[in-house]
Amino acid sequence: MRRKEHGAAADLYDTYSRLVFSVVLRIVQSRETAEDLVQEVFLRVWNRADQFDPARGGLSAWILTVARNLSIDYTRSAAGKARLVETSLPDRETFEATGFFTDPLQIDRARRVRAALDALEERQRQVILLAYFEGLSQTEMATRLGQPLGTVKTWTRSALQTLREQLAEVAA
Amino acid sequence: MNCDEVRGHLELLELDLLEDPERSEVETHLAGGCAVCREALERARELNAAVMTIVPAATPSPRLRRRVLQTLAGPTALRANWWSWAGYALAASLAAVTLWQGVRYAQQEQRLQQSLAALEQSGIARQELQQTIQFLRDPVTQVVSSGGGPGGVYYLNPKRGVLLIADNLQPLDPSRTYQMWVIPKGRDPRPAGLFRPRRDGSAIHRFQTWLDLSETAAIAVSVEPSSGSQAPTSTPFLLAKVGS
Repeated sequence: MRRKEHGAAADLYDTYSRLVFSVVLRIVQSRETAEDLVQEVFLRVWNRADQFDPARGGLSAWILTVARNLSIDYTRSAAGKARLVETSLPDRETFEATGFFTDPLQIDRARRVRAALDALEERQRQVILLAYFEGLSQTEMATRLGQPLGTVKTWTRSALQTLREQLAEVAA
Repeated sequence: MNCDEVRGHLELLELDLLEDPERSEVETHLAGGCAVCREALERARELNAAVMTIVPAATPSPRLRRRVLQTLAGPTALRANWWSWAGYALAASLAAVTLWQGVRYAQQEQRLQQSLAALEQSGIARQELQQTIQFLRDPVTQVVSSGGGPGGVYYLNPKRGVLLIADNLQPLDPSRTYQMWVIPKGRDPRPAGLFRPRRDGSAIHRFQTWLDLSETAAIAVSVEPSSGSQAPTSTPFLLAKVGS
């Protein structure tokens, strides 16, 4: 990818486009806007390939970070604020049937992540979704939820700790 | 703020949602070069990516592919041939393996991507490429990597044998070749095939054998005469301990 070799662009797109599109769509809630943003994601990744540092995490994590940041920037814009917000998890049947992965180990990992989120208390899950897919800071969450900032910080901290423990089991 | 407290904030820092005063304290801590917390930062990025994959899957329209590829690489990127299919299949396999490796093997992704680029140009036989893809996709395949020097990753499979993906190998005189070795516990190394690197120093070598991982201590490579050797005659390198 760094050398911009023939075929690398197609490989990059074919490998990651469905995942990137799904994440962006989840955040911006509009297919048309999501496609525009996906194009921008790949352009940014392509042009900044030399900035990718594998020591700072895998390629997929980097691409998803770019995708999320661009999408959250959009939601904070005037156009984005008018969108319809989805604040729930996809239902389990949909998740199971339309997962991104065909590899059994990847599917298992995705299911564990999903199970970990399902196992969170409702208020913990809510702050995770607000952080990851709405891009709300803890102060903004406190305002949105009508809760003290300290309470929101406690929910967030405990939720992230649970997820860390679950994923550590997967990686071990 | 101590390391434990810092690590509790790294996911939000990566999401650009951490606010002051915690943000400045965490950034100051990281700027101080704490290696443990920098490693934790990588795990935080991987966790964030994993959480984002819980979204319902959606498929973009075919025209988006055309738009993106024309933007990135011009119309030539749209040409489809068998090799582009093979490259995609291998890319997907490498990505699958890389995700499976998870946090522990995140740093190998660049090496895998480089190997993909090498494969695309290698012109290896279709059957060999398909077998390599099957090897990588097999859920029982395990990975071990060598440390230092030229890079090398071994994929081990009890029924398929050993697959080496290496780079930065030195070119050899025609009278010499690289030879891979499977080193059983407490016994002499067993020859595991000869190979030569490509001009860019990359190499993919697959040796089919029954492999008892519980009885295997390590995998290594050495430089040998072009006809190979029954035992290493030079110092083995790309040494990877199995089960470590």
